[in-house]
Amino acid sequence: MTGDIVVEAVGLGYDYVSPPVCALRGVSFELRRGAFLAVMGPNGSGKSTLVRAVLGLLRPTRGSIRVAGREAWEYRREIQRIIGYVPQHDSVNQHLPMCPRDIVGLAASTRGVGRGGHGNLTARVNDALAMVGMADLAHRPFGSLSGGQQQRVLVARALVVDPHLLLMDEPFAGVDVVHRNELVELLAWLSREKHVTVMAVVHNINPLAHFVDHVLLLDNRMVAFGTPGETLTPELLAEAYGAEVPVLVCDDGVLHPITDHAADH
Amino acid sequence: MPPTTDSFLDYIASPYVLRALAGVVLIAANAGVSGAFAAFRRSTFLVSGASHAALAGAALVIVLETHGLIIGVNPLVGAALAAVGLGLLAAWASNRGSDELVETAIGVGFAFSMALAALLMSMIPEAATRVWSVLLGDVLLLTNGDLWLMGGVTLAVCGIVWWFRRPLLFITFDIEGAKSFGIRAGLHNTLLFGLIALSCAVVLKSVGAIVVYAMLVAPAATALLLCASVRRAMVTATGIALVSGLVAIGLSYYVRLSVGALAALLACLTYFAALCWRATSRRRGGVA
Repeated sequence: MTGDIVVEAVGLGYDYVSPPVCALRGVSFELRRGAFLAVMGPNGSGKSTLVRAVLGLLRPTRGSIRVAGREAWEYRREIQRIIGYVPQHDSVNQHLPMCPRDIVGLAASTRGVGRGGHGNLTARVNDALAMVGMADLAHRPFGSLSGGQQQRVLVARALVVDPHLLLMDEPFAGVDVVHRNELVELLAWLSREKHVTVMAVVHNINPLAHFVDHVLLLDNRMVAFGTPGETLTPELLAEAYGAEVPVLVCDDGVLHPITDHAADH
Repeated sequence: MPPTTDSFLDYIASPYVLRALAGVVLIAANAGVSGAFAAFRRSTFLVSGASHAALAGAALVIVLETHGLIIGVNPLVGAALAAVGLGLLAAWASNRGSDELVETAIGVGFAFSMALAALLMSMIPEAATRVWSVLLGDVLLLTNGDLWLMGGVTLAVCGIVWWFRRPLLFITFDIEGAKSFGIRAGLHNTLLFGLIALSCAVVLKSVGAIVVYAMLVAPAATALLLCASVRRAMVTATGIALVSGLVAIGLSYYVRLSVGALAALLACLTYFAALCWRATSRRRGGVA
């Protein structure tokens, strides 16, 4: 059903003008409601460009990308209302004296939560923080939180607006194993129970490998798109990363590529 | 320099001190709003650059007036235009996403402004003292016209920041996230840089280009060391600038020293005291 397709890329490509660089080409995939996608690739492989294209912040130089049936660039104001974006925690200002409650509340009020029958703002903020296990630290200064706690606050900020699509850039960077696993379970629950489409850019797919439905392998072009079993093969990984990547098979039969980042975990 | 008066109360009630008190209130408001946002987003070099650009703008107005090319234009107008010009240049660099480019743009603008101001002063030796007065500033020499201009611009700066407080805070925290929330980050970033630069021009005649940084940034930097919320930090920055200015005016009755320099000194000392307190608290494990 076309109505179920949340993200649809057709021959998507993007060239930067200055300096002239082809960041992406030939990316075609579609994600249905509630799908869970991991985007992988080496540094500079176009992952961030894809994220910006989905958000409607870049106009594709080739092909198209549609979110909820609408061209992302032309209808960026509309499609951004259904996307929850989670940046890397170290890309945000650590010095602004704001606590998690303020940060999530600012996002909620920016989107009009609590106005015109969109529910109570305070309750929504509290729910979002509770969902990521940050309710107890809601009043602590953001800069004093650990990397993992900061990341969870940014996830809460994305969730407070009830997104249809959760778009995450390196959601596990700096997150300890316990909280990483909690975050992965939360994402899987959102995808399966709440039918939120989740798209996560990751260097290390292993924490997600048991939960994702699809993997998109990039190297400034689409190397592969499919199920983890179809895409996480030594051949395709070598094509994407330009080097041999060993792959282990766990007891559940799930493939686990051992990239440098994976080895750290 | 204030004339000798019989009593402290007579001194405080004199028109030039009353105007100075009003000036200090306006400086404090600018420190609490623009100074705080400059500190929040780590763009304090903009304050330094814009205040020196403002000096060049004021000097240009004075030169043009001396040569009879313009009449009745307050040098603060030239200061505001030049400062905002530098603010917009810095915003353009910032919107290109490069902090290094921002620093370079402000630095080059700073050097250009100082060179231009020196050149203009050499063109009008007879009016050079007027330019020097802008460089050093004196809150006791504010005129009613200066106060009206300062008051109007300060009100506008505070009103605009209040109206756009959500997007301005959002872009200060996370510019990419702000874009994903549909906020026109480039536009708001430009607005914020312009407002910070405008504040620098507003306080120029009161404290002088050299110490604008101390009066706008030091109180906000102190507040950042002490406060855990944006609102509290802005109120504290306003309070520190206000108290520094008021104490400096009070001291000026007893000692014949520049009020602007005294106020700046007090604001900076407050910052150093807060820094020491913070360091000792950390050592004792009192501050996270």
